[in-house]
Amino acid sequence: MRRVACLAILLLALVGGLILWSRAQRPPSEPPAPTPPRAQNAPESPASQRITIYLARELPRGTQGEFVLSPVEREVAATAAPTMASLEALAAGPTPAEESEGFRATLPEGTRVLGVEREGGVVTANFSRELRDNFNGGADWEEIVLYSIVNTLTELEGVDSVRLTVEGAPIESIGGHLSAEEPLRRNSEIVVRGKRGE
Amino acid sequence: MSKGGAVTTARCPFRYALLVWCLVLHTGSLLAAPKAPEVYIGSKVAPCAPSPILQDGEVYLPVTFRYAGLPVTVFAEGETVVVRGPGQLEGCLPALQHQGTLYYPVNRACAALRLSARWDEKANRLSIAPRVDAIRPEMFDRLMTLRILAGYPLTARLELERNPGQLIIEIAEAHLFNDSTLIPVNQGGITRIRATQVSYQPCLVRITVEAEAMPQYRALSARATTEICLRLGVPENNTPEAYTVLDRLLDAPGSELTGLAVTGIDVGTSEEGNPLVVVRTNGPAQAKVLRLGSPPRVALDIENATIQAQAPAVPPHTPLVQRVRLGQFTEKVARVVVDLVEEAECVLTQGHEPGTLVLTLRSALSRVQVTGLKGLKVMVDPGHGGSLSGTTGLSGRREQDINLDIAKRLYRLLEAAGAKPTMTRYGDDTVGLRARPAMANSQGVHIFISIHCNANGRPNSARGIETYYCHQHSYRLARTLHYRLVKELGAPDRQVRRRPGLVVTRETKMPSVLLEIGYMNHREEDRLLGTPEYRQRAARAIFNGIAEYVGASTTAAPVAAEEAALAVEELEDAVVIEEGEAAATVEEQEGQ
Repeated sequence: MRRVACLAILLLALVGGLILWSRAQRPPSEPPAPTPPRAQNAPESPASQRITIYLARELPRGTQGEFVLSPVEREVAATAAPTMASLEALAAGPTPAEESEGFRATLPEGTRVLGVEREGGVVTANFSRELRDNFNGGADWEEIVLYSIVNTLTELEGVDSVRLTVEGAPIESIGGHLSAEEPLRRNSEIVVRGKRGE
Repeated sequence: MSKGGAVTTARCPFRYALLVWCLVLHTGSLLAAPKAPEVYIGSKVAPCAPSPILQDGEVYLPVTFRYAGLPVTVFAEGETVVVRGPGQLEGCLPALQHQGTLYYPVNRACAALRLSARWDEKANRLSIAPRVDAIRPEMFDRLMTLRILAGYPLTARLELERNPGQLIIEIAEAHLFNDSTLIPVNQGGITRIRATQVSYQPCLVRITVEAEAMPQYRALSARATTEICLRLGVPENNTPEAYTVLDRLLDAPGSELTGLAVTGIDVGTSEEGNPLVVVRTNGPAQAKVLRLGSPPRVALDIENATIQAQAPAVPPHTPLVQRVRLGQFTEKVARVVVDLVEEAECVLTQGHEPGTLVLTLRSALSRVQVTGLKGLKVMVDPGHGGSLSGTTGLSGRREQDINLDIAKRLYRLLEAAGAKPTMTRYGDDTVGLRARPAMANSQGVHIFISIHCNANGRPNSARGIETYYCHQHSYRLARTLHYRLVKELGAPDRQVRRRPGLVVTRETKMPSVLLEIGYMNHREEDRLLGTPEYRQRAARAIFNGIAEYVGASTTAAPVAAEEAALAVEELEDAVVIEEGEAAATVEEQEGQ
């Protein structure tokens, strides 16, 4: 009986010590990694596939309304075309839980995805006119909107660049600051920038 | 007795537990508090506070870190960190902010500075040292010219080994471009060259020339200090006569060996934003500049020189320079050709380092050096307009109207001060994004100012001034206008930001900025931007900034009374330029 008590206490001491140790072990210099929140109620079945989309995320206080792109994951049906599914997830925006963590939708209100075509490494994404007409933002917000689309699509295997069209026609720009005439390549800097201040 | 015994044994497990607890805690805390990484420059510890941080396998140094003993400067420029080394070495790096300090990736900084950074995870140590960039052996007949190149002065210790024949070159306080390299030679009695990093701490590189017999060498004179240049050979046999022949060969003057060589070419930008082409040679060089038209280019002929360098990559955003080529024009003339984007003026000077030639290029557009506001051609670009709508404020005001109003107020101030302003649009017209910089380029204006108002992803989350630029030569203008706006409007400073993608600042050839004068999705700023006096103050601040930029006093500006009258004009009434007048201005510009 006494021996059992003795062992139990020893075990407790060990476990407690380990917990403390592992807590202290975390290097202080490493900022906490943003936890990619999963889509709610997404079934983990082999009939689904996982895609990554890039949403706007407001940096924590101290940086005042500074946005960056941050990846989140979604489970979609395995049968869905990943390009279309990614853009539709992007148009749907963040879940309420993500929204409370500072995530924001990037596509202007009412923007619909009209279609996606893929030719080699170039994907052409066709949107409704709201992409341009309802865009509200300055230079940096336009960068967020533009590259949320580009980075989401170039996340997919074999996609190098993205061409944007509105109702089937090429556009000069979404918001009048950045060019969207040529197919655009991924912008990693705008994601890295996110680690600033976190 | 039995009672006492029970007490002792009952206490026992607690004691054990306590002991184990303490032990675990102690080792835990020992392992837990990771020592801050140490930073070494060469073999010496360099203090680094705050400590470097590790992220995604990359080491980041704080902007405050000093490269003791190396001619390197580091400073923050807006949201980026700029590193500068000797000559034209410069890097502009994305920074990350951590606990109020800017950090930059040390690997990328070192790559730009011709330094090497080694992160030893086990030793928790970062070693930085000048990088031995290249080892270039070149055989001429039986003799070898060996060049060891770096971006910084190197000191070497040379030693001959008799058995087998070896020349050992030890370079302290440097890193090799990789851990070890083997260059097979098999010519003139020289077998191969081996280079290794003996250790990082102490910092030592060893280069061994392996030969069939004991080599003889001479250190070549009149070379840049950043290069170790040796001439060496191996006697044909082991007789005294063979050594005499070799000595004579090694000392022979006027041979190909003592000939001049172009050893390196770099493209950079001067502080004024003018592109520079720096040609390094191993001796005092004579060069001629030739200007060639269509397509515009400049040729630099270096006499009695051979080429021992690679054509340099032109850094992105370098104005005027399209690319740099080089080749042996004749047997005795090495030619460097600079392909230009447009006609440019050029000046050739001797650099600070011996044997360095510096070709400075200046746009023919900025030939007229304007100081002061008189005659200063300013293109004011009211953002958006027509069917290319900008953002919509919380109050429903359109950004394009606010932009146009501020632009017109600025136009008036400039005109009154004797400057020559023009605008990309004078009304609510649709002007393409690329058409705007094209106008500025074709009219040859001196500066380009794009006026915008801001918005972001969440209403009322941000307010203040953001200023954007693209090319290095626009930074001074951006900074000057930005701080004027921040100060005179009393608005929060949201920094000067370098963004390569903005069309109007990227495509303009002259200094250009894009100003985001407040957030229209911030209730208070949107209200302020809706008032004519705030817009007048904004225009005035930009005007004062331009005056400061060109070194003019602002006394030549309109009198206060006139300005006060302007300040109360409402949005629609603020149309100060008649349509006809506007058209005339454009025609006049085009006619010039």
